[in-house]
Amino acid sequence: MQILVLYTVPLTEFTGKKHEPIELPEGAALRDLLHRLGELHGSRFWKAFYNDAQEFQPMFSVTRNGALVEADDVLLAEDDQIALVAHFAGG
Amino acid sequence: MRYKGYIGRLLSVDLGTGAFGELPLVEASAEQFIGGRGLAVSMLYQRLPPKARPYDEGNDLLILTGPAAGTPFPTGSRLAVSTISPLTGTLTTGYMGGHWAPELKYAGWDGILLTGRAEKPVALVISDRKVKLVDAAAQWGMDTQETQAALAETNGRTVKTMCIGPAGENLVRFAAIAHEQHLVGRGGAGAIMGHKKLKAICVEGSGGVEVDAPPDRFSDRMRAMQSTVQQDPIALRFRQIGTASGIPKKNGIGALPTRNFQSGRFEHAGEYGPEPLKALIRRYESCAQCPISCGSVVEFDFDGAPVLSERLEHESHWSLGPLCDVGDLKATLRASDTCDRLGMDTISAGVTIAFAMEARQEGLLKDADLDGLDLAWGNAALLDPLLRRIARREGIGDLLAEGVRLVADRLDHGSQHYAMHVKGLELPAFEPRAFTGMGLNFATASRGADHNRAFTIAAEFYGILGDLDRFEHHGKAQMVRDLQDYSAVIDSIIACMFTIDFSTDVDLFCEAINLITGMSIDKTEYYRIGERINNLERLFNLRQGLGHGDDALPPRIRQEAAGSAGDQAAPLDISRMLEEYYSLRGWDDRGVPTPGKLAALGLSGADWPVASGSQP
Repeated sequence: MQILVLYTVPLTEFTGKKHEPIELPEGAALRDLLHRLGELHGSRFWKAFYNDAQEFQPMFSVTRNGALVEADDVLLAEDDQIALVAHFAGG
Repeated sequence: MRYKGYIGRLLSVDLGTGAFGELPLVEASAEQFIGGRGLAVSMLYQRLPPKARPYDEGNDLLILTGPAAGTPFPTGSRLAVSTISPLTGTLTTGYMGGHWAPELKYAGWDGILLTGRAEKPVALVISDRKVKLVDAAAQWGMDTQETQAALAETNGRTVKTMCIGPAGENLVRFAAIAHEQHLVGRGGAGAIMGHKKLKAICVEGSGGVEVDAPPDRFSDRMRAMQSTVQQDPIALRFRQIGTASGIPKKNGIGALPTRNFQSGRFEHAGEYGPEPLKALIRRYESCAQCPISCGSVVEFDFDGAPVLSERLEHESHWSLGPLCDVGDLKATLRASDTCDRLGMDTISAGVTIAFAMEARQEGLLKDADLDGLDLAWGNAALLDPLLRRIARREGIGDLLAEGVRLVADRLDHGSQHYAMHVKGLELPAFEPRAFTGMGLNFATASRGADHNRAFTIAAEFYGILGDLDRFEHHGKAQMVRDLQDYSAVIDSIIACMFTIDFSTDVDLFCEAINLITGMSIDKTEYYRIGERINNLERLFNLRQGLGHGDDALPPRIRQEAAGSAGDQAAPLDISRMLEEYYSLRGWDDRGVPTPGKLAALGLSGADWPVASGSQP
């Protein structure tokens, strides 16, 4: 299935993209998506979402189709839009 | 004026004589300073004498728009208010959204220069080119919402009104100017309006704003820009909960200033998170031409009475919540609404109350001085009655209406140690010891501790993605300088700071300026204009008697670790960052712009006299 990932600053600068489609197997969860993004964009990306104990501790809000996601075991579906949103922006 | 987007004239009003006039807005000023903040410092630098004082008859109150106001450029319909601040003694320029700025342009004016002082309360009423001063004795004493409602009854509901409340009338040094539920908060411009006995300015216009680009192209690009901003996920979050989600996140890293910056953690921070707030939201409102719609209207009962208030704004939540050790969301929202209605800056009000709580803790304020109020940390019930005393300068409120710096000077006995201000302007909701770049920005921002002069937080908080550690000093001087120059132009267009970390970038702002005005600004020129504005503001400060010694953080920040903010949040010494900042700016080691730098920015010669006190 295909997921569309939306980035905000500073992830747009880090990834060089405002959005990108990601292919995942059926039944994948948010953690699988973040793992895939970590492979694509490096360990620093991973550290923005997981602490040293590998617990989900995101420095960004994660929304799925506009609704806030609090845990990384949420299952994703075809055509989901996952936005990674900075907590601090613009004053 | 060959540039579009401008009307080409300002209205001048002498409140002492009642005389009206027109001032031309010349092309050179538009090219060098764009509008808003840039134009304000250029005009007031040339108009005001060195060491002008806030309550001098000669202190001007200048209201300006930018070229974007009245056009569809997203978030661009804002205004700037500039004057000598009663808090800082130097130039302050504050901003406000709503619907007033485009209306002034439609009436045929780029701005208003208010001079002199009326003998009795007046309101300025503008209907296109017809201008009159009317008696406002009936509105004097009303709060900001009552005033707007009363003047809508008199002048019609389509008229846009800005006004002061009791705080401005009573010269509270952090009094604000209100329009709808937006405020020019910081710096105390409301007190200057009150000193001039000007209760309100009502405006209605029937004209338009001409732009340079062909209509089809302009419409296409503006529609695309509106869509870009609207669809950004951050805009969606602002739309849902304003800026409120920042409080728990800052608390999570020990960077939430609590108990007057004694600690970086607050046990009730979750009370101010998104979920408790969402439950109170009833609808959303937006400023003119803004697709973000961050104006969330909340409604709830408090002390048996309904409260209906707009804007979920984390600065207000913080200053009237965690900073005072108050963990009661509804009491904080009510206090914020009270500030809006009385016409006071929530940041300065909250920081001043937190200071008073600590002064009481230290025994400098005695119970006998407090009108029966209990200034214990965390006393939510204190907020509303104390704010009302401040606005009316009653009892202890008369002292606190002076702002933290002057209150500390009066109490003395070491209280300056925990008087949290820079240059007299109270610190906002960011912990300098946890974000060193913001510390440098607070110290160097021309109007005092203003986070919006260089919003370093996004870069510093997410430094893990690059090489920018939030505790590090290396690299911060350049970041602060660049962001200050970037923001200076945004404040001159005038666009909303909420856009700066998403959707927009310098290229987009350049394109918008060029489409609207017909100028040909590129990224290099954009930053040069920003640098020019910051250098002229520096000259202004030097001429007012401020200098290197005023580029300093409060003693608490310099001498204490940030409580529970972690071992790394040590006392902050900015001296090396400041030295590098001066060098990058082309200033000498005392922070004075060199003749070469001023010449390069077009700030030399007869038009820009440098006062003897600021001679490079």
